[in-house]
Amino acid sequence: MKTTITRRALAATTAIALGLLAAWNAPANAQAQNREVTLMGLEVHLNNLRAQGFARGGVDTLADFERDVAKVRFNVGTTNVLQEALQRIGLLNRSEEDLIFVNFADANIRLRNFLQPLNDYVAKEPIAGFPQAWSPGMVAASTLGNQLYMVPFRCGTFTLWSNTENAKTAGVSGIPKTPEELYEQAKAGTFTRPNGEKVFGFGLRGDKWSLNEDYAMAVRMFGGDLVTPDMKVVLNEAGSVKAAEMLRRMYVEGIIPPNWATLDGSSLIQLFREGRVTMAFGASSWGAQFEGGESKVKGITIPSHVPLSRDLWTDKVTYSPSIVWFWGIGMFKGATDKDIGYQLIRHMMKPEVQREVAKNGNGPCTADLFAEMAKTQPVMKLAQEIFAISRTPLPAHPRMGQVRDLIGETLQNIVVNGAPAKAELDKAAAQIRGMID
Amino acid sequence: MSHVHAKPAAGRYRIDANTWLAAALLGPVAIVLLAIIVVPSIDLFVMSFTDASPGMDTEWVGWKNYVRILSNPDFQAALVRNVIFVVTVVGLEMLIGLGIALLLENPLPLRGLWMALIVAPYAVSPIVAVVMWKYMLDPNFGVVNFMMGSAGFPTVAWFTSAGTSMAGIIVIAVWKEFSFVTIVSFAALKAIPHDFVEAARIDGAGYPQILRFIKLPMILPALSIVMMFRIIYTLREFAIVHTTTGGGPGTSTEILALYLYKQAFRYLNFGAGAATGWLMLLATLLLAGFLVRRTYRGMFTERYR
Repeated sequence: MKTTITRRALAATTAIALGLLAAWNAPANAQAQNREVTLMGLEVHLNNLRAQGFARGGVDTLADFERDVAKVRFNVGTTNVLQEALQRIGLLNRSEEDLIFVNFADANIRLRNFLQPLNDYVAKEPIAGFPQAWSPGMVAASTLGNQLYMVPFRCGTFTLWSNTENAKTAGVSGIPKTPEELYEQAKAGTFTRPNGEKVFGFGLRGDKWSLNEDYAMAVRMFGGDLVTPDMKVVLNEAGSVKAAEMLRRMYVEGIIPPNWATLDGSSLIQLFREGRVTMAFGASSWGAQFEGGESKVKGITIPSHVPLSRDLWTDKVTYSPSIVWFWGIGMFKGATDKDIGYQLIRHMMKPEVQREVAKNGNGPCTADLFAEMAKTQPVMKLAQEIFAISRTPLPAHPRMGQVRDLIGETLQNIVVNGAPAKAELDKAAAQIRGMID
Repeated sequence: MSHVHAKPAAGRYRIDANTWLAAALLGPVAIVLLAIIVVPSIDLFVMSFTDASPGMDTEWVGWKNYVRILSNPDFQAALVRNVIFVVTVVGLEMLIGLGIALLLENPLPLRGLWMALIVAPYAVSPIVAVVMWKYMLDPNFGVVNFMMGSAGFPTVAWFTSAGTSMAGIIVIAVWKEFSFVTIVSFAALKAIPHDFVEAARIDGAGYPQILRFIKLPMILPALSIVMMFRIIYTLREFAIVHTTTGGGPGTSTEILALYLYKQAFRYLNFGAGAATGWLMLLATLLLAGFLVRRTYRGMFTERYR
């Protein structure tokens, strides 16, 4: 039977089809406008994602997601604020906050009560390249009892950063390869400019909360450690004592800034940007923060490996393992809209987003992106080499917050208040054993 | 004046309509206070007998938290530091605040402007004030050292040692709150009947005698109340220490409120934090009770007690 379609019928059908299409799209767009996902993180995370601050001029990596899926509200806090928020909001049955950046130091069994396991979500809608492309150690640290609680997003190592102009002014050439050379060059790199401005030879974070990380680096230059991965407390052994004594000497001689005990990451970065420090321990991702915006050290900073005692050199490795760190992104158990939350995690982990975020100064967590960036950025090559031999400053443990604080207090007592290094470290080691046993 | 006329009548107490009205009006407030202060306090008290820690299983530990805290050398040191801090800060605030009030009592030109400038620190948000001072006292960039150096004075490496850290904290604390003492003292001084001072002057008393025998005794009740408030508030000071030194270097500026914060939110020992909180509350109640009693004794004659 032959069916005839009249012009009027065709026009009516087309109109209905277009109407249906519009109706189909309209709620989706309206939904994208109305839906919202709230993310908690550091200012550096926001800058990396949104291309703000030191990353101005880059690509806002959340723009596509906001256009198509949901608005992203970003609550900025310090590391301490985020830690408090994790354990406070994490216990709520329902929270306005959906996602949170979690520091590696908080990746312990407590997370099971704060964050939503992501296994089911990943099984249903996989994250591109996960977990194969990620560092296995970091994925393992984010997994508790076979459940994945967060996805590593911002990863990095610590290196030694030098201000080449200051070094030149001070008559220092080359980069230090051993702790002794570091001390000598830092001493030479401490000087006063003709305008009376003091330049410090060496900078490292001295605030109690961060100090364990920078101190772990100092200790590992001498082959020591703080607490081993199998929970052996070695804070009071030879490498640690040597490192503490070296820092005390540097403090007394004015090589490190006098307000070291309150010098946190942002203060150290500011000091370095002002050209007030010749060398500093700094994250591999700090290059953009050192040189971005109105920096006085634009184009004159170079990263290098953290030195290692000559007696520990091998044919392959002549540098310290330093430390590695990472921030993962997890979803609160009481998140209002878990599906949207997971969609944002998936979006942030897309290779193209990861690449743009890395251009905005983020430390990548995937091996291929690391390798790609290492071809053009010397600091990423260093980071790649460090990742192969390094570990976090302290192993995971629910009481590690207390250990961190105690190490900070102990070191401040030695370096600033002049307490005897060995006795003070012995006391701290005994206390730490009591905490983690 | 009390509206409660509770007279024993045939073994019973009669409550009049005014009392019922007062109870009805105060009831909602009392219920809200009960809900937001008393109930959480009791909850916290119960928590202080446990090893509560977020994300971990909780067990009843009896008096263990209290015993541990009271025998902990860090807590004892923080307590001693807190006492020194309170005595120094409140002492300086009283001296400076009263001194300025006595100055302002005189017919100075632009007195309103001076008063506004003095009151300004009290109006500034605590965190803003502390961050501002932290930058001002920064030994590398700070304007205070720059000005001291420019004026030919030796500079101070603030927040670099136990001494300079505590000194910096005390400077900020006194700056922030002395104006409270000034305002109350000024108002009390202004309330002294002029006849008293005039009579003393006619009798040949000089300014020191007038101050010692007329003004100070008459403003003493107001000063006692100010001191009581300042002691209670200074005892629980947190923002200045947390924002400037975090209790360091080492633990040299750690006081009780910071000790509590560390136990609860850094170490996640909520049980120990709750016990510390209750010990602080107990100390504050005892101190406040003692001071209130002393103050009221000085304020009223025997007839009104």
